[in-house]
Amino acid sequence: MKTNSNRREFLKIGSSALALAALVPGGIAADVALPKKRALKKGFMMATFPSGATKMTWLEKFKLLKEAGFDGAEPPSHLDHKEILKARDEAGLEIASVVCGTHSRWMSEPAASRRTQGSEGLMQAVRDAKAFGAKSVLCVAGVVNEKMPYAQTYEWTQEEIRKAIPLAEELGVKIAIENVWNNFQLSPLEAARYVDEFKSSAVGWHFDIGNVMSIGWSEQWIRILGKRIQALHIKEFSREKMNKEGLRQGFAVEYLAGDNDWPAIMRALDEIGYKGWAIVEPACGPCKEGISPEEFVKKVSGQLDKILAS
Amino acid sequence: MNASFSRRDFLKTSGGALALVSLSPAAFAQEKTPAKKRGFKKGIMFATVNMKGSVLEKFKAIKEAGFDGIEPMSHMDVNEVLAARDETGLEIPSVCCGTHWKENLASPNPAERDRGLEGLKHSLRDAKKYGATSVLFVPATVNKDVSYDAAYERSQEGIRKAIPLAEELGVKIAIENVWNNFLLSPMEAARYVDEFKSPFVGWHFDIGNILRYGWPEQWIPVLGQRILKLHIKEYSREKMQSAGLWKGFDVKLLEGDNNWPAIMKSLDEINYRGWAIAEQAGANSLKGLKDLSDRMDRILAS
Repeated sequence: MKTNSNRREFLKIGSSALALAALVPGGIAADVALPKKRALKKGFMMATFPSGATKMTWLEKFKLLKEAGFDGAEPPSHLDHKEILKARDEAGLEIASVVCGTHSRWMSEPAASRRTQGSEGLMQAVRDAKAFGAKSVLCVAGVVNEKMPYAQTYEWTQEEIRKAIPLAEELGVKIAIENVWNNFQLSPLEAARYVDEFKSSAVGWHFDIGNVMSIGWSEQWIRILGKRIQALHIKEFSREKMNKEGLRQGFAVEYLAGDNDWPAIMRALDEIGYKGWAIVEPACGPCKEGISPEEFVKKVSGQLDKILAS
Repeated sequence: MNASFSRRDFLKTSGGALALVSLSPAAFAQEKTPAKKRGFKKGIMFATVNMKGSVLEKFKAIKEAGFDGIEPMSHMDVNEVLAARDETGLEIPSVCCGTHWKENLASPNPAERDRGLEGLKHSLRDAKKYGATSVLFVPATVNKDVSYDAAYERSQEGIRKAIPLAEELGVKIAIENVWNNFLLSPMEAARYVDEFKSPFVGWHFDIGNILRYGWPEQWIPVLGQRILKLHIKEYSREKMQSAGLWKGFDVKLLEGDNNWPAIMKSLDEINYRGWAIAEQAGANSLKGLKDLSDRMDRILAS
């Protein structure tokens, strides 16, 4: 239905192009409606910064990103505000999002005190985001494992996230749940339902494109999650490596060399009207070897440009 | 909720045993359920029996190996299967639909959906002739061309059309969790079944298919009474990580990562008493069948 409404809008504004296009609707959407200049901002997830740069300060890293053409950085939560703000302003970067990757995973743990620490950590991330001018925080809704059953995780993580909603609403920061390899939220329909059950505009999704590819298709998730998507992680995945070398080896692939159907993914993003951050999370370890941090960041920036133009 | 319901039932029927056991429900289920006498019947999926010979010869080998029944594919020669069944005394508890992979019930092509529905109906009729109580059915395959949400909607629409026949024949449609990229959450799976509002739709739970992203002992209490049949299958997460996703299946029963005692305990808790059907490589000779049968005995007693 979203497709239709977008197509209608396109026909309204771009009817002059119609004569040029095939009369096949798929052909129109694919070949003509896609501008090569999408209003997406380029971000970099700091946790995946090359390890060769461990001794660099935040400012040095941010400057490197700026020089490479990035618009923003996505730092983890619980950092010193002054230092990040100073680095942000001196480098001239924005803070795209704040990652609450550690604390939010505790929200499904068996011990209630630990779960509380999880939601408290999430609230700190929300405050961090407000201080940095970021619009959303990346939240992992617990972890399902041998000791933490799926159904229990569903209930407990909703309970903890609810505690953080008033603060998020007050500060105007979105809690964006990310699909990660936590054995939870494996269905896009369930993911959408999970978000909607909060009945709050302060809860949305941080969609990781590469993480669903072992069990699904990113372009399908994007259409199903639609406006719930607040931020994007750009990640590559190779189903071939998953099948030939091992499940996690699927991530050990360069951008544009895996199985992501980037044109289909970008088309889906166009259809839902996504205008926001495209944050790279280069998960490929071998791709960072034998290359300086400067070169690596530039390489990834160029790859991201190609992806966003596909 | 089903787990506590079953426990209540159990307490009701066996109150005399209560005095003997610890008051901890978990310990109760684990230690005092008679492990060796769970009342399971052992079956094997016929499509996995790849030794040479006629249907009857295979049935005889299966019987000799110690199995109680077989799960044939649909669209076989019914008379041949019935003759083999009657001569060997094996039971046929379930029929596996033979068309659901080729004819996707959620295909964008309506003609393919129709063929998928016909395949399901044919399977239900086969099941009735064999005295089977359910049909194993893969409701949809999500792929590049069939989106998850479309699969959900179209497969329910198709299955709804088969429910009147299932009711008429008294044969249930048992949805199986397979690697079809669909119904990946146990809670969603339960919801999917419940939305039919029909006792003729349930679940055919495959234990090994879950391990790549989940734990069977967590699915079993969520699906609870919806589980009509079981597939016994092994999976190795170690091989999944070191050799490839599909290589995880390349492991013998009891040598992979299934936590069989936890799985059996969860089956006790939902009071599952029925067929345990092997779907496992190795059924290529009488010796192989006996090995499978022996390993299943050990699993069912764990």
